[in-house]
Amino acid sequence: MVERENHPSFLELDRFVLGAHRSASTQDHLQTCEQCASYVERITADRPVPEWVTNLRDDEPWGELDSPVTRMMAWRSRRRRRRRGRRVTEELAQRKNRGWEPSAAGGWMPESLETRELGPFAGWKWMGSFAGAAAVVGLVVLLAITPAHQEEAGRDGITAKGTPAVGVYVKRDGRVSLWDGRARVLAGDTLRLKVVPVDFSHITVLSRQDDSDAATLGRLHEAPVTPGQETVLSVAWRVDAQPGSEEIVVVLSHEPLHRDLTLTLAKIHARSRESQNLWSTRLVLMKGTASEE
Amino acid sequence: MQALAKDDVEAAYRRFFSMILAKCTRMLKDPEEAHDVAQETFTRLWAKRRSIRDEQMLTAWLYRTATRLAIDRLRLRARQQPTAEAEHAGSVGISGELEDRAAARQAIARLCTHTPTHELEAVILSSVDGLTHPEIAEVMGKSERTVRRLLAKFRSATARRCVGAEHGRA
Repeated sequence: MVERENHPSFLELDRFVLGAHRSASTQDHLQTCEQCASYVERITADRPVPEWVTNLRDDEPWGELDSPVTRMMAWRSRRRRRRRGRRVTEELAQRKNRGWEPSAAGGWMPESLETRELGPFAGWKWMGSFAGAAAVVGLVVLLAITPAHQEEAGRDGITAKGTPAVGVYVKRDGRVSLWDGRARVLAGDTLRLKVVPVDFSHITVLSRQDDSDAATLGRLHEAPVTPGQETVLSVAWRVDAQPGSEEIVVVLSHEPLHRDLTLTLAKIHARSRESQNLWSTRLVLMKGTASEE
Repeated sequence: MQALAKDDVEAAYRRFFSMILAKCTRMLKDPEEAHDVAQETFTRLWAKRRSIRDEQMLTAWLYRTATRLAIDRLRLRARQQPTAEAEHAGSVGISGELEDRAAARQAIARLCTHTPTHELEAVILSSVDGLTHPEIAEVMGKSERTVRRLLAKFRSATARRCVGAEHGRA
């Protein structure tokens, strides 16, 4: 690689900065090379912390997920592991010696030997990987997934192939389940959205305070999402104890919605109809009480 | 791993985000896309923080995750702008040598939809981040021999495409 032939790699410089690997040769190089020294200065400069970072502060690791789909996936994962047999055992031994653990989702990832999960839900480490902060807002809940503008999604959020979809995970008493489209949610439940964005790259989650289509929607969360990849949002919401129902609107777009844009349900519907650059769905939450369960 | 061990997200952000953003900017060039990918990478890092033991493991994980997210973004861009790829088809020199980072980015963007992910990963880590073969092998969790093979495959694919473009123009 001609350009950096006489320089340490960026990985080595990053590790030097973090203190992971401080070689004397890298230290000497930084004293004489303006280019590398400038890079180190740039990545160690102080930067203000944006709001989306502080929202990650409180997180609740999402553990076991109980549903027929996850149980099937876990069984398949166990069957696959049995079939690999001796070859995997030997390969595992080699990789463990190098400090690497196999990822149940495929490929190899660094895993702590102490915290590696074994058991029926090892195949769902990705739930933990998407665990971010539980931003307790006291709002939101998902119930009926009713796309705002055309064909109605199934009660569990499954739509036609190629259409975005939104699903809900409900955490109650330490157990996580996929909402079935019918159950009421209770005060204290924690909810997290799973999104299939198709080719959209940005999600905005809004709250709706009254029935009017002209009422301004409040912004709960917005973040980029990876197109074509199922994503569990990094924030969660806790259901409050107020009776009645709550609504949220999930908007998928190709670009972030302008911060100064005042959003109403009517405006979102209009923009969804006008172009393919916006997709939205309205989620209605019906609250129940523990005595109804 | 102070910042991660203490669950101090702000300290973790100050310590790691600039490095992540620099990595993403090298790969994507577009500052907004780079920031999006960096934000996603940091969010995933925060979610995985309890299973990362040390800085060595963390940097390897960051490089691998950011690279794969960037590849996703490049492929999305290529799907949305296929004509741009065709226009740049002949712009790499006939020798196919990836002589600098800009040329490497160009070649990667041009071939990203037809090239396997692992091959792209190896090329990005080598040509954009300047990693040595042992470092690439560590980040990807593969042998050095595999890394050399992946890089050679990409170079020959680039050379074939250049020759094809030259014949097309002739």
